[in-house]
Amino acid sequence: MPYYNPRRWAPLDDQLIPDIERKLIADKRAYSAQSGAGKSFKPPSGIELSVIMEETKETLRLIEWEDRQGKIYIELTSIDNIFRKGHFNQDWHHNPDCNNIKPPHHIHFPTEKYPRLDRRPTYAYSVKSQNDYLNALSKFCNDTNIELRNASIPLMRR
Amino acid sequence: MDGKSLLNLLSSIFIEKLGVSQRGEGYKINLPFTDNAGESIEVYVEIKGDEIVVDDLGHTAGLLFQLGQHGHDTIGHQFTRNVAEAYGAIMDYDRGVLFKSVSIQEPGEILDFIQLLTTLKSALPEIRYRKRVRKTGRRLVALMSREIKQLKLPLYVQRQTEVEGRSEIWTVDFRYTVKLNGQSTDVIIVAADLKWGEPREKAAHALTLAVDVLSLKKTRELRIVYDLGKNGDGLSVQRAARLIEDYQEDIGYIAYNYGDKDIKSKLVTQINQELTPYLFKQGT
Repeated sequence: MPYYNPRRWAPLDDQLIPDIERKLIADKRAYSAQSGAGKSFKPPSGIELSVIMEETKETLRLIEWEDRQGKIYIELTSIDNIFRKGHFNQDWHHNPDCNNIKPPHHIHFPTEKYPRLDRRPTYAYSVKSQNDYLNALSKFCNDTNIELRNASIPLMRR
Repeated sequence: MDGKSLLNLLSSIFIEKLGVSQRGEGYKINLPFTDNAGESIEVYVEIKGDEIVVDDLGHTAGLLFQLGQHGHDTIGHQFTRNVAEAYGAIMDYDRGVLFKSVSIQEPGEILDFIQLLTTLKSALPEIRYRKRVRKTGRRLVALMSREIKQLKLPLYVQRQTEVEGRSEIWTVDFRYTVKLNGQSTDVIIVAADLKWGEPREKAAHALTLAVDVLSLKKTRELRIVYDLGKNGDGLSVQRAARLIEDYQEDIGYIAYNYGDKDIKSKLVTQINQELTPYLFKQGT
């Protein structure tokens, strides 16, 4: 099953969040999200996909974008939680237990003690991937068990 | 500590955390401030003729995108637009970049842009909002119309019609009159679509409607249809479904779980039996 368990990156006195990990382990498919009408202020190369959980039909949101320096950001969220945050082509990351994650790529994950990925500090694990946009997305989806086959990535990204 | 020492201390804090590195034609500046996730706030500066162009590298649009606040009608987008306008910055929608051009004679205006950026990076993540829930699949009422052909009889079945209760007028999904046990009976069907919106509100609406509509001394049969899948659909949906199930005897309606194959089949058969004679009369 394509899922990466980051348990070993958190200390023994902290835990992964079972509800979130269950959803990450479950089979999921990504589909192209419908973009809303009207003018929107989207970041460079921003794409948005809907991720449907095969069994419960719950919908998650997967976004990816790249800033002008080539740093890539990927995020998988539900209505009220960020499940994973991928940072590719970025600097060092410092985990709360002082374990430092080498550049260039890491993926943030929530734990019981540090559950919010939109707040500092958070844990992350190191990933190996090529530097480009599609490979980063592919690696992220592989670690979170998301089937990308039905998603239409914009042509400019191919 | 005197004023001068304090100034030196503050200056050293700022300078220690300030970083400049060359990137292409310009420079990336790491500001002595961090965003909500603890990342250093960065700007990009490039000198073009008599102007200094400073931009946010796309990070403001990225933050709005992460928050689902990039659409023109969202609070985050509107707030960004208003503050950007107040500080003379431009939102470049094509490149997804926020930037400001400053005269080389007035480089201090770069600070306005830095102030703008730190404001946005600090304030935007705190906007309380509820992301829109995207769901797939048909709504329950559409599913019923599609699967029970008899409910499409325009002369006999009223759809989205008003029904009078003791205190209120209610809109119901289907209504028709048939003879049940030799008595002309008003059959009212309400679909409580628990998977769309707040499940408990949907259940509460259906129950209030039931109490009000069945309070009138009329021969009515109220059927409340909900859809609970075998996978559970989450606790809130399950609890709302149980509310609808539990009160049917007390209030006097009949609850049907459209997600249960047997119960669905019972409902479909019942409607078919009631309406099929009219199908032939109407000649469809």
